[in-house]
Amino acid sequence: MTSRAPLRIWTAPLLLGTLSAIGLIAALLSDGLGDLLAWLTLGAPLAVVLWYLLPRNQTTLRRRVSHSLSSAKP
Amino acid sequence: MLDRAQHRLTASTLRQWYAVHKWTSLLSTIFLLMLCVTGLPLIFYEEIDHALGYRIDPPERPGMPANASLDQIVEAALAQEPGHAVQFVSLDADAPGAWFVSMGEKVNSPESSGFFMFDSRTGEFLHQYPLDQGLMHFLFELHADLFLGLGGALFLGLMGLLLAASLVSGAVVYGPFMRKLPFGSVRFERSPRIHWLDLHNLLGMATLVWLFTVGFTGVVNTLARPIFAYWQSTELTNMTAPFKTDPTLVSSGSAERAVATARRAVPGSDLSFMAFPGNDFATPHHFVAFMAGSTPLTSRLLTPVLIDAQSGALVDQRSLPWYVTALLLSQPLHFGDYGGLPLKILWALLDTLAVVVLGSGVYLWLKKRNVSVEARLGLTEAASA
Repeated sequence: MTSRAPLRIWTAPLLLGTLSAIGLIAALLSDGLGDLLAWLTLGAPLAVVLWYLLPRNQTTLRRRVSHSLSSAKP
Repeated sequence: MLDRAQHRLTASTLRQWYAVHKWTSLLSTIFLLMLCVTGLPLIFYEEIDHALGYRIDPPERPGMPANASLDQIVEAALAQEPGHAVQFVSLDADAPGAWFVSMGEKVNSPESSGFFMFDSRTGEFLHQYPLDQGLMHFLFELHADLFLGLGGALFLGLMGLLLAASLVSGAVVYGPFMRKLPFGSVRFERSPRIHWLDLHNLLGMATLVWLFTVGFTGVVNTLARPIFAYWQSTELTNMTAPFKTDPTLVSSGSAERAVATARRAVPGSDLSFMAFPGNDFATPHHFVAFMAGSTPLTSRLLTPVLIDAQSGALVDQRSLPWYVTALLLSQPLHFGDYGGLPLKILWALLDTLAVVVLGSGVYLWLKKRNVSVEARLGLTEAASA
């Protein structure tokens, strides 16, 4: 599990960063479709933050962690 | 404990990155908070000015061509401020049907003395913009240079560079911190420090690329004055060198004719603004028309066209050097004004998250100044138990 840790840690931040970058550039290159793409991709980090701030989702997250930590103990 | 064999970041390099994050943040946070708070209403500068009556829309005149004589509009503007000079005329793609005239005490005075809107179809006077007053103007000056001119702007640029360093170092320490936590964990049930630390990390990662972009393009914007000054003293001087010894111009010649020449010179473009002879953006003998393209990208870029003021003939046209292009492209990326109202709203929401990241950063520093880096990052058994 440890050797794959960087992948696990960085997947979500890299995805959000890439989406943000696409959005920042899209609206600059094209009106209409480009603007729409920018609204969706720059809205993604906000949507993700909102999703994780729901207590229900934090509980699910916690359950998954304690499960994976106990099964990964040496 | 840190497993050094399996982890690239040793405890000591991690400590160094953490120190970079702490100090770059501490030095810049108060100014960055000011920038985020004043920047929030500035995203909606146009909308707020509209609502306050500082700006108006030109009246709808469907089907009526923009046939009013620019020369008559220039005369009418001069009549509004007798003895003053017209420095620039400009068009705004968002306000079709209007000519804007910018006046100064002299043609090269650094300060404007008046900004007027005329109807481009009938030539009638529509509106005088209030200059240097109102809340939005105050916020803009504070945001751009702390009321300290170029020195203030460059200082804020330095704060922007510290932000960039803080974001990079923050991302580096984020990795080891998240080794035992899935993305998005916010441990609400733990102490306030832990749950604000989690929020700081989640919001910091969510806004990272946006904040880096807005911060970096803000730094480029603080260099606007030196960039234009350099362009004037090199490229523009170079363009106008052959005409240095020409006799002084008696009258400024026809602006209408100059704009027509510029439009013919750069097909598929329209005027952004035109500097009048004697202005720092022109020469004593020439108009310089800055033409903008018609695609979303090229509408942000400008082609300067040099026009003989006396004869109205085309003299020269150049593309702008890369450093002016970089400045022009950094403006929309900083202001967020290039994707309609939804993009402005996203800008405002991301800005608000940035305020929370900055605020929580200060809170975390105040709360745990005497705790080791490992404990702060939740890497020790005691902290993660």
